[in-house]
Amino acid sequence: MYNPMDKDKLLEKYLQNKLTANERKQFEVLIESDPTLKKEVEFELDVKRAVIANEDESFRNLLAEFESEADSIENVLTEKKETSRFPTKWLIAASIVLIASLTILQFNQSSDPQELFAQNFEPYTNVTHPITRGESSNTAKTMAFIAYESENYAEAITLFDELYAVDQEPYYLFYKANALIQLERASEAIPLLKQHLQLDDDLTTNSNWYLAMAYLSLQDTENAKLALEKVVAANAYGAEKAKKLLTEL
Amino acid sequence: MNQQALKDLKSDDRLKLKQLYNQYRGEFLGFGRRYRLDQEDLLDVYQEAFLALRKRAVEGKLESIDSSLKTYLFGIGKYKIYDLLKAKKREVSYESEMHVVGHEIQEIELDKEPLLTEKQIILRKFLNELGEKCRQVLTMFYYRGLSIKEITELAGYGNENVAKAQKSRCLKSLRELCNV
Repeated sequence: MYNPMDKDKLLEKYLQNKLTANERKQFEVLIESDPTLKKEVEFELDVKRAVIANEDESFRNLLAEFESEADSIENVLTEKKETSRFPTKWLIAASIVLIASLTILQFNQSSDPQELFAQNFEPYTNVTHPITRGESSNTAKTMAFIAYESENYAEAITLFDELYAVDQEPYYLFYKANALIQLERASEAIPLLKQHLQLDDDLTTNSNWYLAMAYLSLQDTENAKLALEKVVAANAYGAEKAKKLLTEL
Repeated sequence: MNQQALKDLKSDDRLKLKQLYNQYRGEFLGFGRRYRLDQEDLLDVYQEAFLALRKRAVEGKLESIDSSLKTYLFGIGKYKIYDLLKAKKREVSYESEMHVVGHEIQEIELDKEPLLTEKQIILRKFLNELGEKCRQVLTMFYYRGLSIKEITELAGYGNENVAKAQKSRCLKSLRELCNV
């Protein structure tokens, strides 16, 4: 029905979503009857997703650059404005007032670690193993993350333990630690997070933030501060919140 | 839609992209604050919306759109804000307010992208190991959706067969790298 030229052209258009509905239907029939072509199509669709994902990432990086450039310009502009507009003695006077009012604020504000913990802690969202509603698969991994997502933390902890024993995936440590903190068992979470920090996976950069949360929950302000400083220094997950928290502690 | 802006958006011209990005940034943050999201969240939303806008432009989906680039961008942004509020489980308490604020902006729904499969993740890694020529031709074909004919002209291949052969060679290297 098709000569090879047609097939090439059709494949090209199929991969680029340029076929009409009718052509598409025809091509899909063709794919089903030709295993080699089917394999080719599947491979190229995978390549397409991968190429797009790479392009998206570099575009995101570009936007992040724009953002940091905007930041530095804003900083320069505000600095210039302030220094040129106000004489120094006024600035000093203003600073004294500011410091005084901040001190008063500080006294009024509760900086109870427990309270700050409650305001800031939220178990990390499961991004590792997304659960599709109505999914029938009941592998241990799925069950563990279902338990985690439905806030059955005690059950999740047991399952993560078993899973980690089997396949040593670092992220199990991370999610288990989250579950432990949620259950107010932060002292058990700390060694796990420290261990996770030694290992390298996609979630490692998040661990310092949760380490800080664990220390806060134990009212260990000193260690919480140290962990928060690391979060800020690495501009890692939670960096903005960490900056704010550091001023409150 | 403003055709010049659209052309800039599709281009790889850093300066023009930056101008467009900054042009709507402040206003979008102002718009977004009405949903009581903090600056960090809103900047994430704005960047993701800008990315989605550009992808649609590259896919050629915006040429025939009547609304302005800005309205479209804010429409995507609004959709992403709802998504975020939902994720933060705040949809109920703020729902009534949401109809009042920003009702002039029509939400633009986006398809959810499925997560990459393991194989696709591996492919991503190997793509970065290919030479510049391969990356160029694959990006033009799969991301930009350019035809072999257009690629031949843009990248200066002698004729379509050369461009086609280049693409096949790159796919072959990828296959070998992944052992499939």
